[in-house]
Amino acid sequence: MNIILSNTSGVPIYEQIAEQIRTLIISGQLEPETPLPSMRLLAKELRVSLITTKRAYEELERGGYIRTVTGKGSFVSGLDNSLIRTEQLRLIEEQLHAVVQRARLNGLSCTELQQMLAQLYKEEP
Amino acid sequence: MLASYKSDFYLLRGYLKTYIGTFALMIVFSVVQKSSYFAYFYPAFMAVFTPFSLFSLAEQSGWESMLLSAPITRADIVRGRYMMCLSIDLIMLLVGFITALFLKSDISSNIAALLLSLAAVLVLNSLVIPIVYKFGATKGRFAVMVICILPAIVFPLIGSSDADFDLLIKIVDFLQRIPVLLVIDACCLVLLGLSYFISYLIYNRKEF
Amino acid sequence: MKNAIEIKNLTKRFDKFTLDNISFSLPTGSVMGLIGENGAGKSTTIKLLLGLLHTDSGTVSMLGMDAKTQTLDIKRHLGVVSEVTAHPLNYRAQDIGYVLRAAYPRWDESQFQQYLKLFCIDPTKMCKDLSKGMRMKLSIACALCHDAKLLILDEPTSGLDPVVRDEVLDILRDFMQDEQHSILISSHITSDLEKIADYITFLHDGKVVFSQSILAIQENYGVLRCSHETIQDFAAGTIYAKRQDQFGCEVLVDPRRLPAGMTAESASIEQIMLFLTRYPVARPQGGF
Repeated sequence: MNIILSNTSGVPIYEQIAEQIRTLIISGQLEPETPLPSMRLLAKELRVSLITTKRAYEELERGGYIRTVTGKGSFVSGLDNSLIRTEQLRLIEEQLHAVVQRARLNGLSCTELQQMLAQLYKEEP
Repeated sequence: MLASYKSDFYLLRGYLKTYIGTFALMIVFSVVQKSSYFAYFYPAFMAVFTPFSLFSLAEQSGWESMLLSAPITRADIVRGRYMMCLSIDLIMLLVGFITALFLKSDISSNIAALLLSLAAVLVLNSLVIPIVYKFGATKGRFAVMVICILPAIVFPLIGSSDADFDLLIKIVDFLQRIPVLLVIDACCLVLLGLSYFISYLIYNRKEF
Repeated sequence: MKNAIEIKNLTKRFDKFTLDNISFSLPTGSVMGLIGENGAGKSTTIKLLLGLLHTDSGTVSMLGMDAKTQTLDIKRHLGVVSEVTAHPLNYRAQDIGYVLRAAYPRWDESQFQQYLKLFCIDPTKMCKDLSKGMRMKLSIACALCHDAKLLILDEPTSGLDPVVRDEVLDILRDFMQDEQHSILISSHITSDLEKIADYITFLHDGKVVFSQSILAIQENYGVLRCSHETIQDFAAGTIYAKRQDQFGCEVLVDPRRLPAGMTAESASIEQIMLFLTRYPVARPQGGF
């Protein structure tokens, strides 16, 4: 499991950690029931404070991506993939909302926007 | 107390060679002079000198504050200090006593000399250690010098005056009787106890 | 036990300085950085914790025990590193072990020897022949070899090169793998604190300016560079501190109160300290 942090990206470290783990889980690279490194080990290896990794794990748990068992550690949750999917759809809708607003501001029609979308889907892997 | 005692031991360890060397020299003097004076003088002298070395070594570089963050009480530290000062003096006294026995096999006068020197060691430690606790190694030096200079001033005065020497000789004779000396030593031990108590009070209130 | 250290209303008066009614707590299992300029009261606070100074008023409890009545019990589980040179110069490294073995009931001699080996410290070498960095590592080894649960470090890395500082931080991170362990570090080197501290307590002029988690600090403080005119429109209480120059100004702000569309960069601990100490602006409710 690789976690690459950036001090200059402006995104809080805990959010970067949470996001990268989220991505790994969604893409399937971290399979359900996989044990995650302890918060303390992660803090030590990434050279960040414990409270940062703790917050990252709390965010992940809130989103339903992982579950923490006292005394045993944290595991990728296997159960509620639908919860994850709902969350992701919500985020996509949020971002689309911002895109639509900007498009409207610049006088872009719905068709033009759809064309842009189709083009993007073709380009990116 | 053991930790404090050990701490002081290692502080002085660098000086041990000098101590032993100088003491050996004193023994040699004594043997050459066929008088046990030097052998007994040195422990009494060290009773004044050792506390200063210990205190300045301990104060330096904050070692004492480090010791205080360990689970030892301030009483332990004071006790360890007294024990170290006394051990050095007592060991030297013992060696001096043995040397003196070789020089003059009259046991009772040797024991008298030992007890008298013991009294001197106890009194000097009792006086010097609280002073150094109160005033520190640098300022304490002056106070102690005064105390040591006093006899140097007073005795010649007595000597040069028209005092009744017969009385003085009778007193000295009296003091050389062993039972008297034992009583004197007991008093000196009480004085030492008092001194420890005072040192503890001073040290307990000390702030770093 | 919830808090490794609990300080309540601690006061100490000197001739020219007063540590005034300070209170803060270090939750068990965390690292807290104590910051403040020279003379702000950091060393005084630590000395009061260790009993080197006597408190005028207030209570201190460490590891769940009252500092006044259970001093020895606390100190059995306390590791202290203060002032890099706090070893007698004519001691050998192993002598320190010999002395401390008699002081701590749970002194682990084999662990001490392991640390000496790990740090490449020759046990028979005199302390005066060790470099500053090695003396520091020796101090840390001593603090770690008696099953300490709480470490108090007073300026542990000042004067040390970045390599040693990095090694020291790694050692501290290892110490923190046990969730019952906690650390209080007083340091000027705020960059080190950014790497390990979970909480920061900022002392200034004998008072606590704030004592917060670094996450809260990241949310509450930001730095913005802008023109004088721009800040006129800011809501009251947005600006904590302002540094003006000929070409604009730099402000320490509460990012949550900024006008819509404006974002501030997250403020480093050093920036917060500098701004609040040198360029504070009076806030409506007083204080920071």
